[in-house]
Amino acid sequence: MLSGCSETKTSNAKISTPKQDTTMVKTYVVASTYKGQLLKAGKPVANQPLINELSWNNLSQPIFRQLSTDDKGFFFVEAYSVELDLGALEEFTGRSYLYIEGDTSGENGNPAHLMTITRFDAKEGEEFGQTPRNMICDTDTETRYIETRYAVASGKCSWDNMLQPEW
Amino acid sequence: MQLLQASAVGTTCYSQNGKVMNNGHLKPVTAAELALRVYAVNENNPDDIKSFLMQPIFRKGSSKVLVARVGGHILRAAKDSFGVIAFGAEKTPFANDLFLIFRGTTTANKNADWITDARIGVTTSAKGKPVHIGFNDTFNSMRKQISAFVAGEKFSGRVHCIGHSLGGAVATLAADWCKPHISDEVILYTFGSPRVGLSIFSASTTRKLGKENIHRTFNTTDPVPMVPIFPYNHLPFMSYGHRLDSDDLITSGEAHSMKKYVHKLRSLGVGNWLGVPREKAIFNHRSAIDEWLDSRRDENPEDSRTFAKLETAIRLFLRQKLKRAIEDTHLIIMGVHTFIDYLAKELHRAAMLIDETSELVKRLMRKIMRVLGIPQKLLEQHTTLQFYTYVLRLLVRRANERARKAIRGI
Repeated sequence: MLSGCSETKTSNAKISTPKQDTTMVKTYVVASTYKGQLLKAGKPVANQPLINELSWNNLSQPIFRQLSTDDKGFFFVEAYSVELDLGALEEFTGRSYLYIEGDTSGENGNPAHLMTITRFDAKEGEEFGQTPRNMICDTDTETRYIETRYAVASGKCSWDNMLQPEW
Repeated sequence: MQLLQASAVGTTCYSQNGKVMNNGHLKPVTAAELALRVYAVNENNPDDIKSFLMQPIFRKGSSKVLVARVGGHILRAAKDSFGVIAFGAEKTPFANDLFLIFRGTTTANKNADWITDARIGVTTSAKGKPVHIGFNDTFNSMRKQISAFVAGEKFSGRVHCIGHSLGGAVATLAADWCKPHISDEVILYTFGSPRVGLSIFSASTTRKLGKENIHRTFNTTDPVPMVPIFPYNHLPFMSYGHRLDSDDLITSGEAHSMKKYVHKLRSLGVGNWLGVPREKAIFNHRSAIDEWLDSRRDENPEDSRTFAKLETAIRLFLRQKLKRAIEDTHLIIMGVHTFIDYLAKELHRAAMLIDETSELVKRLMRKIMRVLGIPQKLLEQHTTLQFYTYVLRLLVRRANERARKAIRGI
């Protein structure tokens, strides 16, 4: 099921802000693990390079991880965490975008995200509630809101055990 | 659906089948998730903002990001995306309602000076009431945007003002301004909010919104709701906020995290605000104060309860001495720092008399000195006003240092 995932940097970075009078270094999960199948008009897209763009708080340059779908269109996004020294009043905000490499079909020629997840200081996988089952991401689908916990998400993906709004 | 019974707080009702209805209020977890998710509007990132605004609780295409000036007298000057204004979606319980959601600390003010600076100033709010100058500046920088957004809309619903930390303080000011400027029904939801204004503001806003429409939630070990210290007051005035009992034993910055608030509310598993208990009075009557002042046990200067007790004792003195609460208008004129000098003067004057108040003052001063680690015998040797002023200024500095230390997790 796993396809050839590769990335431009190591999976877990240790990035600390300059030494201050206090240190509160803590590990934050920027992206959780999930796997899915890429479709176009309902059909699997095989061997398609994908980009997972990661950033957090006011990091100036995002990190790009390259992955690919396998011959049945399946892909796997690995978890990613960082060690940061944030002030206690500052909330952690981790961003993970998944899109097709070279895609320009989004607004202003930017890639249309298959998945946009902004997560806060939550445990790995906590945003999905349960591990997503049978996730499919269809490029022909309209981007829509995806209900999560401790996160905000939208995209073209759906799965069997998606969370429902709580109100 | 017939309403059978109104609850004690007047907001939650029961249907015939016993199911709890929220009477237009957001559920605790929903309000908390919104207060957390609004942090996604940080850094002006368009993808994150788009995701946030796509939430099905909001009407499509009827929302705007609010940009605030987080600077000025106390905060470092900077402009930043600070909140969101949006209408509720049709076919939801919040159709035609308006949401004002504010986030907390930005990169520009993460050093927490806005909350622990001993020289925190007082100004008058949009409604002419005494409030924290920094919070007021931030809210005022968004007022025109809010007015412009609502102008021309046929709007008759409720306004939900939501925020965490600094965002909670700004949400409080927004709620005060919105009623009746925007709507006659305004509901306030804050999490880990600092105190926003003096008693006139707190009393007036409580009266205006109705305490049942004020959901101020605080974690017992979150240091932020403990500052700024007296004479600032919380909402609802003369009542209690929703208390979340912490699993930790000491105050810490970690307890302030919005994620912690969501997690705690989620673990309570409640569908309405009745399930989140309002804080019970633990130390507000004369006999408890007397007993504490006379006790000879060591006081922990790192314990927030110590400072809460000292505050209560000072309030008691002011009530007894002045026969009324200190007038906020005096505080606007003199400023909070000068108030400490004023208080020292009143305490010193009272101590020189021979009556019941004099005894109260001496016991209070001994207690303060005990907390500060100053030998109590010095009180007999130094009867000058300067000494009283020195002790009180040290107390305020120590209280702010303690809050700052907890916030920064030292």
